[in-house]
Amino acid sequence: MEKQPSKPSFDELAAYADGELDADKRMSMMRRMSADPSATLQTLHQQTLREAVSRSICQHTPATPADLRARIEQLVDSTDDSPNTQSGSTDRSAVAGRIGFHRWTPAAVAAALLLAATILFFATPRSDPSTSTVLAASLVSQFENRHDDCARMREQLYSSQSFPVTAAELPSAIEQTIQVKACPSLDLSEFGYRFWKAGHCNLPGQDGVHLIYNTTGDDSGKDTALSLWIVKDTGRFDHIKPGQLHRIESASYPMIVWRHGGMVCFLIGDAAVDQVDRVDQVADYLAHASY
Amino acid sequence: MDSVYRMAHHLSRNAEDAGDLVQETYLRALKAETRFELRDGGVRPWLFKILHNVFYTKIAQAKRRPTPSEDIDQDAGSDDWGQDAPAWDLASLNWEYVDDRLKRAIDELPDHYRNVLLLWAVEGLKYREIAEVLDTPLGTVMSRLYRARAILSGRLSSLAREHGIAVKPIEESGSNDGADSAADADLDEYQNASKME
Repeated sequence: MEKQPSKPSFDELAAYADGELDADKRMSMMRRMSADPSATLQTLHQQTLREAVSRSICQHTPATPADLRARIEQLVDSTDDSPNTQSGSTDRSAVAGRIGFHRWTPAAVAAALLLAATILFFATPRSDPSTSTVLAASLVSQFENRHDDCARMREQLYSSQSFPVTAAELPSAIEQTIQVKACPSLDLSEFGYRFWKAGHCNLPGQDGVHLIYNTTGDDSGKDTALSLWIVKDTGRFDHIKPGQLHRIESASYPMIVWRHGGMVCFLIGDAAVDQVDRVDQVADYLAHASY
Repeated sequence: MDSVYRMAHHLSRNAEDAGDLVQETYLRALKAETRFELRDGGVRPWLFKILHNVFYTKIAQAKRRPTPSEDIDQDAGSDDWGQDAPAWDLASLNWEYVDDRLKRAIDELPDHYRNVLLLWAVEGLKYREIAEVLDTPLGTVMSRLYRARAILSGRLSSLAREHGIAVKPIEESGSNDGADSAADADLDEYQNASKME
């Protein structure tokens, strides 16, 4: 008689929700959770709580003052004055008086440049909304892990759910599931993706739908999967400007988010170089399709 | 820099001190960059660690810094902490009300819980990274995070009930009989680390 997996403890669920488990352990947890609806609820709750805390703290923390940013940038600029660099003039007078001058080694210069690059990356005004970071790092990580897990276990995925098996049936099924007026065609074959499976998913919310596609002509499952999550736009992601594609720069995989037609969509592809452009094309099509 | 400033503001609770903290952090970072080793988490955990050191050595000298023993003493016997963490569909709540209540709840948390919460929720650090930043044992980080979550969930549960959402405490964890040993082994490491406190 097959032994039933035990119910996960809170620590286990928290570790899963926080992305602390490796791929094999995540798979194991997903199987155990599938037999325990309360565990799924707790996981969802913890994931949402994390996102809510992030949102609350970010909203109520003032932005970095411009004068402070300028002082730090001047501070970093002053480290470029090294006897080992080719650079020209030094403007130490611009640096706060208490900062000393050190003779930098080449390694130190390289590290300082890395630090400077990091500072400038975060300091650069994000005039291009398509590169804004609109999702909490924790949520991005959850999407990446789920995409990775589901791409690997696609054969078993959503097998017990009665979701449509063809792309043509998807729009009406999604309209009924998340109660939106219209959903565009989700046939992505013109972009080289074949619909594989769809099912209810608790990411990012309990009423989400997750669709998985594969690159046509390649069933290897390696670097060929595409995930699309669709949830009803209930206000939870009001901070995401509607009608625009938002590319998540912090993601390890190509990931794009948008709000349109009463839905919030999250698209993530595999990290293969040739996938990046296709993910962009798919997002552009879905975001601007007539509803 | 925004992440560092956010953390500094969170620690100091005022903009002026936060600015000083950030500047001192970058000063020390630039002086110490030869010792910096780039890891998966990038430069942020390193900067956060410096920031925390700066805060606790320069700003918090006049304040009482919680110690691990205090942490345990505060937790022991408290009826508010360490209880089953409630759960419900948090996403069903009106986010505007959630934000206000959540902000108050976060502000009222003990500092050492808030610090862990910020690094976990906003900066997305892993447990081990948080432990390195705060220079505390992994088990302590997990313990503080658990209690912070439980407190926040408890504070929000009244809001959930106001919206007619059923709030369910998580069931007591089952025994490990028949559990996936691979899944438990990794978590046993965390729990054993916690027992060492």
